[in-house]
Amino acid sequence: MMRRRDFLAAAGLLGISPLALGMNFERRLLKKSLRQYFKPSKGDGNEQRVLVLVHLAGGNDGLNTVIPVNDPAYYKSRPTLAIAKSTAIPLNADLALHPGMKELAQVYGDKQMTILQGVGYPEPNRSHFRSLEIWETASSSAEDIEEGWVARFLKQQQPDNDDPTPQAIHLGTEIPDVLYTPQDIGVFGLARRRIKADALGPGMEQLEREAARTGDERTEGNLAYVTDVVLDTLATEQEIASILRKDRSRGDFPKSGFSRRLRSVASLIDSGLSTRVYHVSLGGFDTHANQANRHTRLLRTLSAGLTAFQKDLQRRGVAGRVMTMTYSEFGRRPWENESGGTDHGTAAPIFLLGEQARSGVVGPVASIPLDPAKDLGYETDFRAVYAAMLEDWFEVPAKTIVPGNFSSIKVLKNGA
Amino acid sequence: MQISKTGFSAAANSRFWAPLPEKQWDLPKAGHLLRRAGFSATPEMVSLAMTNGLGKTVAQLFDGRDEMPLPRAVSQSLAEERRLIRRRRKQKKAQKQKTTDEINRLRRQTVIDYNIFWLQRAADPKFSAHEKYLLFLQNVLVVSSDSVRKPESLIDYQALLRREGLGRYPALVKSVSKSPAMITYLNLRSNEVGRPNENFARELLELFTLGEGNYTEDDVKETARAFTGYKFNRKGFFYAEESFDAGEKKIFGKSGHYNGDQVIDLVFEQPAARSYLPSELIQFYVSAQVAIPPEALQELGEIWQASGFDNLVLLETVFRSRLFYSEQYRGQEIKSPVDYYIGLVQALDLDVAVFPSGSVNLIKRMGQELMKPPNVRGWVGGRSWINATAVRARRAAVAKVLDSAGEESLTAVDLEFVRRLGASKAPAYFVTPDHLKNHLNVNSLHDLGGYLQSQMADPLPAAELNELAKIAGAQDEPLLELMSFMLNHPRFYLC
Repeated sequence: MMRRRDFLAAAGLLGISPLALGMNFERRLLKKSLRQYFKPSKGDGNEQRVLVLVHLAGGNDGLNTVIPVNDPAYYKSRPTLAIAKSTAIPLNADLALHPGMKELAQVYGDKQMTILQGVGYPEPNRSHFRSLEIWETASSSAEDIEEGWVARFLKQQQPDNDDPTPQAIHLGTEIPDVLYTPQDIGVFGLARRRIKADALGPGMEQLEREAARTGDERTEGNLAYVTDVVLDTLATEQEIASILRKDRSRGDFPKSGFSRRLRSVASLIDSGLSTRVYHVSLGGFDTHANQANRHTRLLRTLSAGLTAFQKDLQRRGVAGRVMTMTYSEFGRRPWENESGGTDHGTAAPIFLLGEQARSGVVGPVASIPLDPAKDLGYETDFRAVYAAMLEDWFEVPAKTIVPGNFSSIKVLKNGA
Repeated sequence: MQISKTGFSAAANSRFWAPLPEKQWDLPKAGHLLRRAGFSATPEMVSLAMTNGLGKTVAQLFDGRDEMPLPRAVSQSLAEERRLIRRRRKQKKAQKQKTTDEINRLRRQTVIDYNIFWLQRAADPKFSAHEKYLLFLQNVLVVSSDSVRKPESLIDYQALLRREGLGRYPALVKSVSKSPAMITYLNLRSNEVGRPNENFARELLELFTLGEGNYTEDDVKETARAFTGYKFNRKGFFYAEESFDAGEKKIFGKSGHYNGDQVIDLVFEQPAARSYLPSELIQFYVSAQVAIPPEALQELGEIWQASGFDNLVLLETVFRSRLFYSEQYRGQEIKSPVDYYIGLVQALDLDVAVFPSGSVNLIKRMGQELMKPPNVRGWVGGRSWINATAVRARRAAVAKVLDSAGEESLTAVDLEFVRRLGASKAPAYFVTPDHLKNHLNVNSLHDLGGYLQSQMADPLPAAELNELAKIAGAQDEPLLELMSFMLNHPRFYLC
């Protein structure tokens, strides 16, 4: 990782205190080099391809999202929650989308969305914590559990140590497990509540001044050492904030926090950063009670946000190199419970959005069990979807990243 | 709290370890002791320390060492684990693998649960010093969850250290050698007559008692022979006579038909045994980087030996000594992730979050996964705690506790933990303006600046604080901005 201090040194200021030159000089110098802080994306073929992960946190009710409107069992299993066929948005002869998703229906109609039905895994786990761990690590063996599957992918990409560009950016303070590995692979978090850009710059300058002032006695000491590393970290934060602030071509997005996060992702993708993966989360899907209105609101937010995002990517001319994929720790039980909600289930649909996405619905209509105690079976192993993204989208072998036996699946348009 | 008289009279004659006179006890020194022995020095703690004086404060430091009760959620998980293991015995091969996966996931969750409860205990000032000491012991007498798979073994191991850690070190080492966790971690079970496994013997000499260069390869081989026959079953440790190598061994130049306990006695007759653990202790509590004078280490070793290798005497000698309070060892140590997190929680009068994203995961992202040190040497500490990822993780921890969305941003996973582990009636996981007012008596930017300065080992120069306050004052939420600046400040990383 290129250090900020090296960066100033390279500009010929080695050994000269910024104070001697005046803070303005340093600031100007920094501004001039801002363009070179992150190495630009190489711009050839697959190195530019990006994956955006959208976690539907809590377990999305797939049955009320992609609805089997012709199945009497659907209405029987959900006396109060079933969506009326007349209000749902038809996708094909058997399936319709929840009425709150009209924007996404359009994306589907424009052939920029795949709906993968019944994605899950054998012997499903119904704990949020444990099932999410399974989805995010893609490992059923006891050994490799610590790493996210995307972290394993990024580890193999061997980042350039001279380039502080993050390989992955997550929106939210905690690194999601899908991006986690103990070693440093260049994962950056854009906090929800960022230090305002106005405050970050001066704050950093204050640190620089203090570091310069404490002088030689402390240059070997721990305070100097820590300050150095902190400043380097802040420099990246500042650069990213600067990219976002300077984006003059921000598109129209809905007002939700979720949409705002996707808007930031669009800016960053279009900025020339070579970051490969983004992660955004939308929470609230754990609808055990009074599901009807809450789920509708969530799906509206999801639909409006994802669609605005897709449109913005097109407007910016980068839609060809971005794929967006939703995932959730589980679906929900087909039979509703006593509280107007649904409990933790098993398989559910995944949405894949992108200009290059294979369009249409993949997989059969969910078969609803007659026994209220039973769950939906799964059609596609989620690892097959990951493997397809790795092999067909990023064009890397999936074997070492997502081990296991599962049949392959096609996720991209022909010729993509 | 009885302190060995032998220990103290020896110390009194030492240039380095003579107790600091009570009249030299002051606020900065009280802060230094509390931050090093525990995790922070809040105004209440400092005030009490000043009232009590140095001697009484040190004497009471380790009072909180009752047994840690097994949390209900943890005992339930252990029961579920036993059920799954029983079920697995009756299953066929394909099913067995799936059940094994299930068991492994449950075990990992159990360790996470337990460590959340442990953090809560460690953050309670009554227990802080003792639990921090257990962190030290666990970094010398290392076991790890990556090979000690059963949470019960790890929990029992920590309980053993809690029970016997402040006693005499030779006895502790003997107990540790018989714990299922250590036997598993260092493959002692496979060490049998005719088929020696040297793993335990080597680490015993190199990492637990003497240090590299203070024993020969033959000493290792012969020690391994003495530790044969160490086994355990569901009921605990047992000694398998038939696996024991009863032959004569030659260790440290002496011959005999030694068994494990007897070898440990021989170890503590070696001069190097006097200074090994004290040296580790100094690195942990005094300085990871600046070595103390060799004569000082030697004298400390002699004091420790004179006390019968009593660890409480060792700790109290160090914490009462002139050396401990000398300028060169103050305010420059880099806090470990646990230090940083619990320091944050105590300074802000918060509760340890009962969900991992607000507690154990924050610490893990900073580079310290509890009960899982990277290898048998434990965590190196010092500057190795600081790199870009770790700094980002520390900033994430600060952002977490300052998250104004707070309660609303708890995820389904968080809530699952809250339901399972239970939470107090009105837990304070996040800092709000009300919290600042009610818990910390902070009503203004000025109050806040002053308070946070009091929590720094080496406070900011006044000019810098004013500068930061000015910048914060110009933002939408001045209090939050100033907190962000100061809790993220490099000085807050030091103690």
